[in-house]
Amino acid sequence: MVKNDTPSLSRRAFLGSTALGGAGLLLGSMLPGRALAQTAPRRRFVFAYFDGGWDILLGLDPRDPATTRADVHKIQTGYEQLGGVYQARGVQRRGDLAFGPAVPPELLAHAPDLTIINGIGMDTAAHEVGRRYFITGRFPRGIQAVGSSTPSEIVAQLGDQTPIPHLSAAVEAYATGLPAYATPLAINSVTDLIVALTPFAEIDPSVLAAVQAYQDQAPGCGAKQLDRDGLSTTLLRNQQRARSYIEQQLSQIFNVQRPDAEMAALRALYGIVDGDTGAPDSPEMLAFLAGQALKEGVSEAVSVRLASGLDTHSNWAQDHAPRQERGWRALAALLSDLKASPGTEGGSLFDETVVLVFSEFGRTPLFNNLRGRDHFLGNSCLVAGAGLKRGVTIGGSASVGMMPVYTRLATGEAVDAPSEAELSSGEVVTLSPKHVLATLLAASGLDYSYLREVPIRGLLA
Amino acid sequence: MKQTIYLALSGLLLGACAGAEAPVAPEPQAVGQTQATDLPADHPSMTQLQTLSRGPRRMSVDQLERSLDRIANVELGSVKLPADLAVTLGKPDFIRATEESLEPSPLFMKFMVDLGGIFCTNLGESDALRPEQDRVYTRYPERDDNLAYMLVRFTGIEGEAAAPYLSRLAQVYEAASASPRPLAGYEAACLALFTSPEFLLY
Repeated sequence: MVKNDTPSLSRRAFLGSTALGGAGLLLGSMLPGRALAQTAPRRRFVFAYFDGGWDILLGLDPRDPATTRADVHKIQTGYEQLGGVYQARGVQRRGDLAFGPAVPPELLAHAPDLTIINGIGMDTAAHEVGRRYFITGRFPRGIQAVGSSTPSEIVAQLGDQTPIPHLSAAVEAYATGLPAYATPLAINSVTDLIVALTPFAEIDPSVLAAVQAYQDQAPGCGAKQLDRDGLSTTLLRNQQRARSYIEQQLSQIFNVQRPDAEMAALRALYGIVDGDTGAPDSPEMLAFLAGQALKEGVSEAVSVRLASGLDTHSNWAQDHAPRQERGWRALAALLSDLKASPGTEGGSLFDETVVLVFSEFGRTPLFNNLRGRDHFLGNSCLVAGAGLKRGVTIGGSASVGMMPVYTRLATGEAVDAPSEAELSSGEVVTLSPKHVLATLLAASGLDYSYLREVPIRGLLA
Repeated sequence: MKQTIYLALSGLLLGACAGAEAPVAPEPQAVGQTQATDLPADHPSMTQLQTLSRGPRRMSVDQLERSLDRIANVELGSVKLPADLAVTLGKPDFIRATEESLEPSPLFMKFMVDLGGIFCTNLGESDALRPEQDRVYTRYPERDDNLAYMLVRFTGIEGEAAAPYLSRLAQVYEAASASPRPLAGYEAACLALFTSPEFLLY
């Protein structure tokens, strides 16, 4: 019997393989994000969170108090109740963008590089649900987060390129079914991070070396029995990861008290002085942490809480604007820092970074009986950076009641009264966090198919 | 059917893992007669249950504190981690987080080494001041007996299943004995156990 050296292919196998290939091509065209991930340029990501549900009338979706009436528009701007500086600011227009009185001049200076997305429907008024929806891009099951944080999904696609691919500072973070390197290093403060990066304290070097040799051996049977869901493997991998953080001697990068001129300049830029701003979990310190992690190549993606205490059901006039303003100011410092740092493609680091600023929901346009604002289903967010159009406003909210109106995905324009045909085409939709996140991923050439939603094409540069 | 396959695969895995020292599955516990007769007519036999329990979990901060009480032979409630450290380790603060995070994250593992270093050093320092029956490191004259005692206190592993661990712990002891500290070998064994999955997961 003569054996044919040439690989043979039966007619049936050939047809089968071409049919599969055809199906693959077809699927590829239906899931555009998959193909893009192969050629993605290097990007960094900032996910900045304003904790508590922000008042979009004070920030990203203001109304002119002179033409807005509570009885007609069901909107109370409340600007007249605010302190002097906020009252004086009123609605601040910069090109196509309008900012509320809580936005400070420092952020307005960046307006040409920013894009506002209004008219986002959250479908929830619960803090945990709205927060987790925006973090993962998937609507929670009850209040339980579904899937992984978007930054973790991103670094899972980008690969294990930096010491701490996803650093999450005072923001919830999830990683389910992703490679170990995509697990976020979740910290509550800069202090946590420095401790995590500092060599083990008060341990005799001989003892530590002996223990690390023990940890480097194959796990015992007890550990294997506990690995039914992969938990034991995760623990051991994270043990190694914790050691690698220390071995890379990263702690000095985040030591804000370093006496050199570079750190002094950063303290001035971020407004870090003793007291409140110097607290390890203050917006200023966490913004500094995000900037350092990206500039020094420590992280690919950073989640960071830039504002807190925004859940102002009462005392709104005194509390909300200053707290929101503080977050915007910290963001402005971070953007300035990124713009002043060189990127790898000839421009600044800002040009290679995608920034999303979000909160779990907006607050009601009418006051409650405590002169505060409650939770609202409508929301806005701010995006900036690589692959995105700049200086534009996407979507919008209704002139009466401020509920989200439809948005045309191709252009990003708000549509008050779409036709049936437009609605059924899927081209005119109520925006959701899924659309926003899909757009950020698409702008970076990453796979967004897991979100099961399409990007806002009008926002892609 | 699926469950049976899963059980069979689990059995193979365990068998392959331990070889001659395969851990013996505990006998199903018989339940009281009163409860058995109260079961519905079509309820499966309680003495022959073949269902898997919930998956392994990481110890919570409260469980960790109570475990350290037990290991150190001190009064329950003696070990109390600082509130900010407990939050970092996953305990809810009921302001931002209302559920305990039980992820064995890199940060958690780093803190476990730091905490273990302090705990194991303190344990060594207190050992010399205690009567023999209360000691943890030097309760017995022989090193191997002490290591076996520590292994039980941290993980509950004893008997034949303990043999491979004891040989590894003996290596740790010897390696750390280069230190001038008199109980460095035991401290190292303590820290190895403190940071092991066998202790931190259950």
